[in-house]
Amino acid sequence: MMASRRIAAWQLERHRLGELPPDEAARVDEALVGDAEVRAQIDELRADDVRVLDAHPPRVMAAAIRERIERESHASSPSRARIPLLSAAAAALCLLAFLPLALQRSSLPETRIKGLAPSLLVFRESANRPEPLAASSVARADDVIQLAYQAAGRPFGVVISIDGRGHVTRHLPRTGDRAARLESGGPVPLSEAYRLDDAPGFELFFLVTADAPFSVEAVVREAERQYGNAVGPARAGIRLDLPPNLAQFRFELRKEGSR
Amino acid sequence: MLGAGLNVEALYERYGPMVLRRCRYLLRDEDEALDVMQDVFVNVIRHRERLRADYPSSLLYRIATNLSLNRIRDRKRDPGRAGDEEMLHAIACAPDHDAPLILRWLFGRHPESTRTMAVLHYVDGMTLEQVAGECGLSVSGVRKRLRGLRASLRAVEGR
Repeated sequence: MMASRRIAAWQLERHRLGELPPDEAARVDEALVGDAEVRAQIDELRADDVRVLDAHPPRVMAAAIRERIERESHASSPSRARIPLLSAAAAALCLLAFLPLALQRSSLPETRIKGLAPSLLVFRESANRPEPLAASSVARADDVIQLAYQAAGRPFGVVISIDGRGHVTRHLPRTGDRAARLESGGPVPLSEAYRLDDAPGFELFFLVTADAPFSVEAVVREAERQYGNAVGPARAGIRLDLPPNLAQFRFELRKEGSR
Repeated sequence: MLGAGLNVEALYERYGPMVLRRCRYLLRDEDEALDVMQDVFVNVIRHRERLRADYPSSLLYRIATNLSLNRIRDRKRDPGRAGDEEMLHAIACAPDHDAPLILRWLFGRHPESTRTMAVLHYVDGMTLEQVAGECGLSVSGVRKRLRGLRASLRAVEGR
């Protein structure tokens, strides 16, 4: 469907679903009043919805989707389109074996070590089983990294990483500005693994936790600020300057070829 | 609809047509679009905690884009297939002098996330702020990714 020059196709789609931010929705509303072409496009979307659902009824399609999930869960090799979560059994085994080592390496001044403190565990996918990584391990481009967090009683958290180019990636939550509600109990793997790109130097992972919700963007901006203020090798050593109510756990991977 | 008791039928009924249209636009093949559409919902159901209570369409749209691009990348070369060429033409006609450079990386070994961002920006016309919102990155992060992409392509082309 060719969208109006003023309103993109994806905006029309989301407007119909009621899922546009208010300012964007107001633009589309205005276009609907004044632009016959936009109204015609909305009518076409409505008609196409009917055609699609007639040709592929929800009950039939839902069954096909469930069958596909079940079929893929028994498949031996993962889809190239996704980086699947490590199998639950393998992940649990590695987490239990690795936890004491992780605690030793998590003795940072900014975390309270009283019993168990919030921490991140980092694994690399390998041919046989997930490989637990220690801080300052060497990683390379295309390594697939699986993260798991230990909330240690903190109910809210954010996981981000920043690489040697200063690019920040959000791992948890992936969208929205509110810190994620963390699960309690044993180490919790994130739902999706993460493939490293060719950024040089390092990949720093941060778990930031608190007793109350906090802004994800504030953590992202702080990481970018610290990176921007540091120069050269010092960037690999950055830590977040956070308010006292936020705790951070930092985990560094060195990229192959860096000193 | 969201949460542990995900209603797959309701999810498909509400978002299926939008997802299918997105796959159709990128793949230009109804059978492949239907196939990838199902993959989109499989992906979403598996990672349901990523669904935002307010804007599920944002995640679904991004996954549909990413999986469709993966399918294009994995296609065997077939002179009879016009889908790739039509999309390439759309990218090439995008009002950006860098658009032709995008063709080089689209089927290359660039991170999937960067590739998806470039399609959202150069093909769909999303602003950097909108792309950042879609992909869960900061605006500066998106800008850096796209700038780095253009720089590497210029280096390849000897510019």
